[in-house]
Amino acid sequence: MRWFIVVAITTLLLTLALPAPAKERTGDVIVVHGLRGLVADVYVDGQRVLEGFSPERTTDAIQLPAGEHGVEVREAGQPEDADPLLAGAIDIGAGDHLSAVVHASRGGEPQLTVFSNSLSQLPAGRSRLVVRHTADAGPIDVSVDDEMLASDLSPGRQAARRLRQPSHEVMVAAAGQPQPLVPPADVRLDEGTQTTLYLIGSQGRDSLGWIAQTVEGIASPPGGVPSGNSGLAATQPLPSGAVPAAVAGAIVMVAMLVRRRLTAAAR
Amino acid sequence: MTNATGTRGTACAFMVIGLLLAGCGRQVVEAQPAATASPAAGARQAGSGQAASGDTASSAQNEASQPKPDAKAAGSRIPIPPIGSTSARLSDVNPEAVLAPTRLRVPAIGIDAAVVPVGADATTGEMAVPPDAATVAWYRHGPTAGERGSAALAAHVDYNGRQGAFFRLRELPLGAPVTVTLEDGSAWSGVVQDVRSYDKRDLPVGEMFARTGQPVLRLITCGGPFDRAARHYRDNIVVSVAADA
Repeated sequence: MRWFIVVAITTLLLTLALPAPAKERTGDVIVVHGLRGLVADVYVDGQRVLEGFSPERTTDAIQLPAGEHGVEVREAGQPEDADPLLAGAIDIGAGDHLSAVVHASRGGEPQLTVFSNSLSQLPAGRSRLVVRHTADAGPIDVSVDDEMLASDLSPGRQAARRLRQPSHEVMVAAAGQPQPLVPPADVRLDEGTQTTLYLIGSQGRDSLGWIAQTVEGIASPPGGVPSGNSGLAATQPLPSGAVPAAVAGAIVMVAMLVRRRLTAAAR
Repeated sequence: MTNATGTRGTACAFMVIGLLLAGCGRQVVEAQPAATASPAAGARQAGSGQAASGDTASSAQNEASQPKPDAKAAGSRIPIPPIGSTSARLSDVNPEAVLAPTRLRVPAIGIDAAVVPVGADATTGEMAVPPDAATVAWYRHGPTAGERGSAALAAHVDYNGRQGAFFRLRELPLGAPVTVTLEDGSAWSGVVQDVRSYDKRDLPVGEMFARTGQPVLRLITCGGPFDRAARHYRDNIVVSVAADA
């Protein structure tokens, strides 16, 4: 008994003292370009990681050590020491998956907004739709298939929903207004994928529109395959097999009785 | 006796804790270079005037492979390889269509059946095999036949007292040919590599419905002992089919 307690305490200490796995010391960031009219060079921690980045594109995931990292955006072709058009810091936690969005602020200035992508596994058959407000526009109402997803969503905010069907219609209107700000977007969602829509552009300049980014690898397989209900292919006699056994037994007994009678009659 | 065991156990525990602390110490030491690298990178960024002129993308690659003598300052940065980008236009993000299987033929056990795409049951989360004996179902969220990963086709072994499309699946001999026709009329064919039975509770669903790895086709049905009260087979029978060599 005593050794058991010792083992239990040791296990507890081990669990408490073990450092986090090494792979959890980095996070991923995707840069999303939602600022029309700018072809950009993107710098991370002073290094130019992407040249000639056009609007309405997203980068592959950049894996960075956990901690704070500097992001700078310059017009394409500008020297490294030129004043950046946009500079910001991204604080990456271990295991994070972030989207850093270059977009127009409420006043039309370049702005960097960082969103965290939830990478929780989706149940089999589901997709996740995320809508993010990154436009030069006031608060918005967002609906999916005529059902309200978020009302009065301010710039820099997001709303999300899990959905089953692949095809959806996303509508956006100025908060409290019935008329859509942009024509409804037809969105096709891939199962087991997170699709994020960014509202970009400017309400004042009538240039609002959508761009999208997907995150894969969060699918779950079905839990099983139910594919039979009648027992025609059963491999073993089962408890309810007692019934046929009793019938067989009865037949044998009747047969024996009949035989004895016949034998008696023959004598 | 118990005392002796106790003493040994305690000694053992202390040894383990000792090892553990040693391990932790090393962990901290290992972590330090990474921790110092970050501020250095920050300082580097502040003084970006000294940046090496020319193609930064290629200089980043140099750092990753070999620290050059003239790149001393740059060497303290965390090298980030050049990254790619993809279109974020809504029309480009829409998922690509997968060619659905439409027909399955397994001559060895007389299967020549239509295939329909199915998803996952909304309540149970299981593969939504349709409620009829004759239809073969394809899990449409996974790969199609011939694609990377595991293409899953399932059918009932029996349904409401009738033999199902996969009634004789368990009899399939190794090497038997299997052909799947896709919706564009093309065909994929393979041979049986493996016939296996799993207790349903232990069915490796991650493997059965894998979306990556070598292309394999799986034919899945029920089998094994039958619980008449629950109308439920204990096992799944799984036939794995690999492409013709």
